[in-house]
Amino acid sequence: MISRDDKFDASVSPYERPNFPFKCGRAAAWGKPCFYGPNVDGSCGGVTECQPHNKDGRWLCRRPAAAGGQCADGPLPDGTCCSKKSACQPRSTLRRVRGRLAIIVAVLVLAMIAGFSFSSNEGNILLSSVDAGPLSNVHAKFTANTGCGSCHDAFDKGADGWVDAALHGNGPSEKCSDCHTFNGQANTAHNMKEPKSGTHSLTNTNCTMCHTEHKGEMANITSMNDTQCMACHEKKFDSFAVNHTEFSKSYPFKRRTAIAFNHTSHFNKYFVNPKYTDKVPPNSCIGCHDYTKSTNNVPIKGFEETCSKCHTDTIVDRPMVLFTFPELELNAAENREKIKPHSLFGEDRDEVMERLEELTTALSDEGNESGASLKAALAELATIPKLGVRAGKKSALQALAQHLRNQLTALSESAITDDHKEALAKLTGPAAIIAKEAVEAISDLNEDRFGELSEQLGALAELVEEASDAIGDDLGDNVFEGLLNNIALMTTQLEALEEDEEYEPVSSETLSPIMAGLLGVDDDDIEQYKKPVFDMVDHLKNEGISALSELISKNGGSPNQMLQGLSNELISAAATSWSSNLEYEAIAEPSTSGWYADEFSIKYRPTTHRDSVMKAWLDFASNNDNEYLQEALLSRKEGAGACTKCHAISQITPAKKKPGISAHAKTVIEWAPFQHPERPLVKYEHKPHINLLGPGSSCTTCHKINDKADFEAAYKQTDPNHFASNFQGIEKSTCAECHNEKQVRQNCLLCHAYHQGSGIKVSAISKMMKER
Amino acid sequence: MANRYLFACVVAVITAGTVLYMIGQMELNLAKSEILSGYTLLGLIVFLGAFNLRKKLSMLPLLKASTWLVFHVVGGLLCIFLFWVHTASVWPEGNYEIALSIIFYLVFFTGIGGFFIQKSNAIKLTETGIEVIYERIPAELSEIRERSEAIALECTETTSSDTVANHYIATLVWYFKRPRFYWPTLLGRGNAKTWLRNNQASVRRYLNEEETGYFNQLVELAELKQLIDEHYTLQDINKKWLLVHLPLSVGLLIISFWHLLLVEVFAI
Repeated sequence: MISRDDKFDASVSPYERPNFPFKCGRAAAWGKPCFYGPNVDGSCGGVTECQPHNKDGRWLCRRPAAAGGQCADGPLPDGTCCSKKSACQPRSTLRRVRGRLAIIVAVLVLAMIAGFSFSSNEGNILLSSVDAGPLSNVHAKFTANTGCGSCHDAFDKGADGWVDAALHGNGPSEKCSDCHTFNGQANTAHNMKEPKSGTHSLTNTNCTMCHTEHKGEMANITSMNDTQCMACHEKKFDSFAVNHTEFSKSYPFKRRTAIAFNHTSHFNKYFVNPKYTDKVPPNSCIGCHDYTKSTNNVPIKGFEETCSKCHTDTIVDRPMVLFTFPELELNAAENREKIKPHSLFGEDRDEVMERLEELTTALSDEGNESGASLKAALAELATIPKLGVRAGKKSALQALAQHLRNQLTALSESAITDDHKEALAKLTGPAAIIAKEAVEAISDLNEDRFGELSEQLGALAELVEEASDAIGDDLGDNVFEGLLNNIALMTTQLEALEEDEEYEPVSSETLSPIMAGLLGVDDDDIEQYKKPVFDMVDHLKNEGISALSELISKNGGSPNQMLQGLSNELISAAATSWSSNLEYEAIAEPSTSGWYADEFSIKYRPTTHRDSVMKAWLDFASNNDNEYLQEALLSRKEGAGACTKCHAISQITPAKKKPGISAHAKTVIEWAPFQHPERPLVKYEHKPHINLLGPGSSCTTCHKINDKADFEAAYKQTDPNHFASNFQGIEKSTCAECHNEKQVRQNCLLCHAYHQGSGIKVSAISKMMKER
Repeated sequence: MANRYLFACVVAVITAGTVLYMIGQMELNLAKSEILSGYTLLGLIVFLGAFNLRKKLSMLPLLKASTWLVFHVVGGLLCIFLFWVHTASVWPEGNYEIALSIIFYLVFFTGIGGFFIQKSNAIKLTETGIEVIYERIPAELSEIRERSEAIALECTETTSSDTVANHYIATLVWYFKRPRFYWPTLLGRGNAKTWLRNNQASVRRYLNEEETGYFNQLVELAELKQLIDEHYTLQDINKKWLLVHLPLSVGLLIISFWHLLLVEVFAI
């Protein structure tokens, strides 16, 4: 047949049906296939060679010509074919086998997916049909125990969760913030909190735009190319060296430095002065800057290693005057009980008066001639100077008392015996002199106040003189009477003086500005601050340090820090003296540092650099609007501790915590030497450059001193952004000398960071540590 | 056919270029370009799978199957390119992604292999000089077997010599029973012809002229059968590579949709 030209003719060959699922079993066994082939249902179709046709009651053979035509025997009488063969077992065609294989493979794949998908909740199963690949090392450690659900919310929420996630989106970006923190919004370009000037809105982003996980343990999931940067940035350029924007004029400085260290004056003036030769840090720049710890900046070695040789004395030479007991005029009756106004006898006044009265009574007593009571009275009188008589008049009263005692002794003894008269006569001369001296001494104290007393005492002196002249027979009643009268007058005069005596301040100081600031008074207005100061002294005397603590707390300060080391005893002793209108006399010489008190002041002397008490006071002053506090503590020229001579005082506007909410500027003292919040998207590593160029000498390759800059002017005001750097701005061309197409790489992320202040939450780290 | 391949290649290049450009733009905007490459790839895989459907729906005017084959082949090449673009690597990391890749590569390479088998076999089949339908080969062999048997009997009856018959029974019956020398033929080796030649040479010297006439008829049939055997081998392999390619393609489609599901649920 194959050699026949008409082999494909329908009359010669059967019609092949390759799409049929079965083929003839005989053919499959390489026997002679039947003409019809198997039936569609897979049964043998070749049991008979034809299906006879009944025509007009006669069965006719219908074997096709291709199968040999009508057979000679024809159909049997019952209408069946006369040529019957045993049935074969049809076999599947390749097409059917292929279909079955496809089904088997499909079932296998589905079974594998099902079998390995829903048993991997732990996330650490080796084979999982939901495992999209190993996480990078860092993430793998954080999610080892919690599995896929760490990032994919829908993972363990069942079919409903899957459908919901598929329909509504469930990217893993939302979960990143569970661990990652940024100095800004997580889902905006560059973590911006508010639109950049000139733009209308923030560009929304999500983490998976750049960070794609499941790329393997060592995969770099933070890579970003320059073209991606250019996609958003309006100012497009080909490369850094070619047409990157020029640096700003003062680059890299956008503000003044926190420490007012004038490089120009130090290098050009002090370091070259032979007077300071032994104090100059060696090796130029790296004498003060520690290049071994360099990162974005090259840190300063510290005050002790750099500035202390010249500037330590400046710190301790400017003590802080917390309180000065000022000169006060005391007329107000309400303050009489708080400060004893210039009392002759101080707190012993009542006792003095009582004893004088007893003396008068004794002298008036008729039995005084016996002299017994008079002696007793004189003995009492002798104790008067030992009582608490105020300084200044003490010697005069002592002289007066001695004079009176002598006179009375002489009179009493002369009144008894002749021997005594003789003895009195001997004493007359000096007694008179003493009496005059006493009167003069009292008169010298105050002509106006003691005039009357002087007169009375003058009269007394005359009587004494008369007594001395008339010693002998006439000594008697008139002298005694005159003496008694005069003593009575003197007593009255003393009482009157006690009542009317005018207050005379012992201090000539003015109120310290710090206390004026704390009390909220004008340090030039005595009438305004008199009462608050009286109250304060009284509180200090009675309550000690707590009075100051209360005042500081009331002003928003932290007394624990600000009064650290101040003792109650010191405060109370000084206040007690001042309350008695006395100078405070320290028991011992004050120490070279810390709290101490002198005649009229309480002061603090800084121990050294980084004094915590001074820092607390300066921070307090910087947070307080009171000009007295700021002048006393923050003045560069006169401020206590001289801290602000070097540490800049700046008006800082805190970063906004929420968009749209304005933040108020705050005055702060820049204690830390470096401040780098201004260029959060710029990064620079000094170390590789220093290593390449060599430490020390190479600094000036980029940092060139600017002799003409008015560096100091920047620190006379508080705007840190208004400044003139000691250094000339670094130009782009300086960097491009190396960072260009032919030498060192110059891609965007070499110098720029995409994120602002990225970090990991402590809670996330703690959680991981616990799970370990 | 060459023009159709050229046209298909142009379409593929344009498609690839368009996709690459769009992916580039998406990456510039930090968008997920994998979505574009992934859905393009999935669409292409479905299109390639539709070729099989097209063959089942031959009644529909959906272009010629040969045209579909051209686009199927070129589409397969585009597919592997998009796969690499989509995964950004030759070999992914995840378990199911590895499984997907294994199946993908198997489908791809069986497809490429099948394409080259069919292309090279077509030439070999033409070189045989005969045409025979694969499904009719058993019938052809049966007919040859019957004719050869008849020749051997006639030779015995006519020549009263059983040399040819004995030779037929000893060697040719085995040969005519079914296709022989499958693997040598598949590998392009001439074992069948050598076998025939050797057997022919070994018996021919014992035959007289009359027997030689009959024997020549047998040899002619044997040589025809050898050509049919060659047809059988080549056509058989032309069909059987699909036993691997097509079921794997079904598996690829399933696991691709599983991948799509996971991406939609977890990654987008």
